[in-house]
Amino acid sequence: MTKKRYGVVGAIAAAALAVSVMAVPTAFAAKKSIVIWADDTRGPALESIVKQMEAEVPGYKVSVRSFASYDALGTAWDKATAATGPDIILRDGSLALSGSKSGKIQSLIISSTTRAAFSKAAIGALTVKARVYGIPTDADVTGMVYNTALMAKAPKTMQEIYDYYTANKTSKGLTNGICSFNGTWGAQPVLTALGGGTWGYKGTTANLSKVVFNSPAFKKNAKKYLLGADGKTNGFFSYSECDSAFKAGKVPVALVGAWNMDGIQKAGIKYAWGSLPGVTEGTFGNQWVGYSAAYLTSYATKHGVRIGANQLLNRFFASEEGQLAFNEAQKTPRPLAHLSASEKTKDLDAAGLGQASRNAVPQLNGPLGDKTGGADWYAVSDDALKDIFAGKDLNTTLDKAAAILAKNFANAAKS
Amino acid sequence: MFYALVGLRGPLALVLKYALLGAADALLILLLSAAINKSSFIIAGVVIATLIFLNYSFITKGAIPLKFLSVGLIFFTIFVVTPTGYTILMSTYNFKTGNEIARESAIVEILNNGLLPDDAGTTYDLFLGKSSDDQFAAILFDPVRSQLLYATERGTRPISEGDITRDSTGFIIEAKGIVKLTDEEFSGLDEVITNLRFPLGDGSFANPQGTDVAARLTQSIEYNKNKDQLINVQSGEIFIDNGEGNFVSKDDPSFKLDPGWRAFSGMDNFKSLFFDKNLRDPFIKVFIWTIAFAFLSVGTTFAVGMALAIALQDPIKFRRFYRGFLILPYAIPSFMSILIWRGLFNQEYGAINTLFGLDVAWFESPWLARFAVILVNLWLGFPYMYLIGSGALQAIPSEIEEAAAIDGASEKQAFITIKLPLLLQILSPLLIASFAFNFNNFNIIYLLTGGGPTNAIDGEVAGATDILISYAYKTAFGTNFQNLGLSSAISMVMFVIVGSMSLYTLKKSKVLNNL
Repeated sequence: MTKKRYGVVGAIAAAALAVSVMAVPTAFAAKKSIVIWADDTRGPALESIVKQMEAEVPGYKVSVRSFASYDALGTAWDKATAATGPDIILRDGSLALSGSKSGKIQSLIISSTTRAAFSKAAIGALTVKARVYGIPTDADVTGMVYNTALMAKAPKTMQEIYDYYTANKTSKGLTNGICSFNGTWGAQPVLTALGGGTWGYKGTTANLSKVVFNSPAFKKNAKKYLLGADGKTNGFFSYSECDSAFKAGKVPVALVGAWNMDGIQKAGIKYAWGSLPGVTEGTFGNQWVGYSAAYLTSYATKHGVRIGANQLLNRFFASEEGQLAFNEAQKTPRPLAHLSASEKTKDLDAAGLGQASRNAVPQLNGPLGDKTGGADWYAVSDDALKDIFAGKDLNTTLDKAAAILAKNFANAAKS
Repeated sequence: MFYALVGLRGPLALVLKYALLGAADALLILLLSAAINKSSFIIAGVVIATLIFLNYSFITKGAIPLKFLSVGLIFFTIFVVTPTGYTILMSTYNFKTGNEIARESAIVEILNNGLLPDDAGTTYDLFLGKSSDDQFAAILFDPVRSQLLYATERGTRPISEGDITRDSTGFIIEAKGIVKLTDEEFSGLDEVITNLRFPLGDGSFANPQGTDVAARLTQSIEYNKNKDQLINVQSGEIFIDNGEGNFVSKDDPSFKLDPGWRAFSGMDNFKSLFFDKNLRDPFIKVFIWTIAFAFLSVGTTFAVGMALAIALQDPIKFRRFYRGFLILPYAIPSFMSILIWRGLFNQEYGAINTLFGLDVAWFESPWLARFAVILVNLWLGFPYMYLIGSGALQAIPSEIEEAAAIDGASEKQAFITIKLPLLLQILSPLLIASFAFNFNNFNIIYLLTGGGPTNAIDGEVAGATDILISYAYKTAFGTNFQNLGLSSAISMVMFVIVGSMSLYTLKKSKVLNNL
């Protein structure tokens, strides 16, 4: 064969290979699929109940993509495009605000029956400008657990925990009296139990014009319980390194979320649920309660599965059976958002957290995430506690923080 | 020549060439097919251009230099030119949370948000199919009012129970004049059905929300294409394009409709970076630290690396062992090393505080955090400088040293006045590359300190150890509310700075003169 003929044969072979590859997408053309994105705990649970979900949307295929972590899901969502994005995403309540603003999630038309299946707070948490943007799946809340090997009974006052800590600090090698597994967000019960918190309330309604982060009561109690003679932290309360310390049996009381329970159980810690007591008996600290939700993305319309995805949300995620099946499939049982499903939850941890969620106050993502004053509540509260614990003047620090928060809340109240 | 270079000639070389070309073509055609399926026509165009260019390079005889350059040029275009071009483009857009999607999509979403259910939240049982004239038709049943309607896109009319058949649970399974869509047909027509509107006669309409449910809705916001305005039909309020990517109320321009869209903003992002005090102050602070960090990183790693190279230049006992030992930090993946160092610096459990009996919060103080960053970067970077320094030292002829000794120069004088300038001449391109790398050394900042410490109470926006790249990342992806346009502008400033400095230094060092 001549060189020219080899060339011709080669070119034909190349073309044939190329054409055969073109046929591949046709041969494997996908059925209409509703794609769900979820994190590393919710995703695998949903994968195990795909058949149940598909039963609610005949004619559609359901596929779940699980991400390695909650943050990885967030990063992927930020970068999602119409070509790559999901039709449904499971995310925390703050997505209602940012997603509605960006147009990446769609408002839902939900029936009065669906609305009645959830608390007003749950629906309210996912409502932006009078439109509902998600189906609440579970409550994001922390509750108090106490190590029963250290404290046999639930403490009745903050002083009781404080006394236990100071009496046993050396003998039992305690690192703290109370700690929060989830930073300052999880530490909210301690701040409120000491007379502080974020904003005031008129009845049960948040009063954004009243900042209580620097309330006189909190200043007084923080000096008493949180600071030592040198003006720095006395170690009684910590909102960092709680995970390892509590699991090592070095802290009697911890504020935990559902996602922390697996590790605590594996560490062999014996615990019981309770409510974090305030300074006087019968008063308690309040935690935020936010709601995670299943959202319909605007990509669903572009993918031509909007009705299917909407039906999946209403028939599965908004139903008692769906929420119970989802809860059962998860290794980390969370307090369910669906009222009747929540009552049927048998898991003790979910019940403990469910109790905590009933005592909690709504987490308002708008004011908490507002940065008009220069930084949002998360950064301000974190830095304020850090500065106070490092020995900076408590009154000045709290007043500066409160001034920033006041600007944030005033702006959030406007919008 | 080409085949001679790769050591292949004859039929085998040709077969191999066409097999590889065929595989590359196949891969590109697969990409082309995927791009067309996703309606990504720009990408499809790029793939077609690549296909033509690649085949032209390898099939024609007249383009021999292209055979060597084509693959490199393609990758350069895809991975360097395209992202740079896209970043330049995005820096001229108002591209942030709330202004992310295209204008047409934003209007669709606003109109979607303008769909309001009636006060009673009326929903209908839906039996959807097609009529004899192949048009969509439906039976709507309102269970509250026990009302049955035959609906088409032209309107609705009441019908009786005799026109339908229900199953034992009351579910409609048949209707006169309608052939129900199968599940597969329904899903196949999802994007058409989602826009179906069955007028109910009072301005409201029934719109399918599922395979067997529809909701009674009204369109409260309408779009006037001729005037390019949105109108709230209930209140009469008019919304106009504010030129910045949002429809705003004509009466109160501070009231925006969500979502907005990605709008061209010219140089606004650059202007705000330099003239908006809230952005300029942290930017300048970060810029100064970035320069200092890059210089200190190159300086310290070069000093330690060269010192070790010089020390191990002469044969000493266990030299091989020392050399192997010294490049160990280079052999461990840097992200692992950084995370280990992060643990070592931990205030409560870290080995550094434990070993020295300290209680230092390394990452809480700005200067200590900066010191930690430089120290860890020294650990990560000195083996590289040691390796290139050793090579460069061996490249300097020993005769030069001997001549200097004969002329009476001491070892120190010979090193400072002869060897070091020669070394710098040889190593300057690598030092420049190292500077550019450290200027954009995202990993060490992100993994070690996260850019912190930042004190929000004192009004700080950027962290004490934030460098431009980590600051740009935080601006783009740091919180729920992101500003990708501004972040692109920061990236462009970095690109110009690094590019200019590299070009200037390369020209000064004359290392490119012989190329």
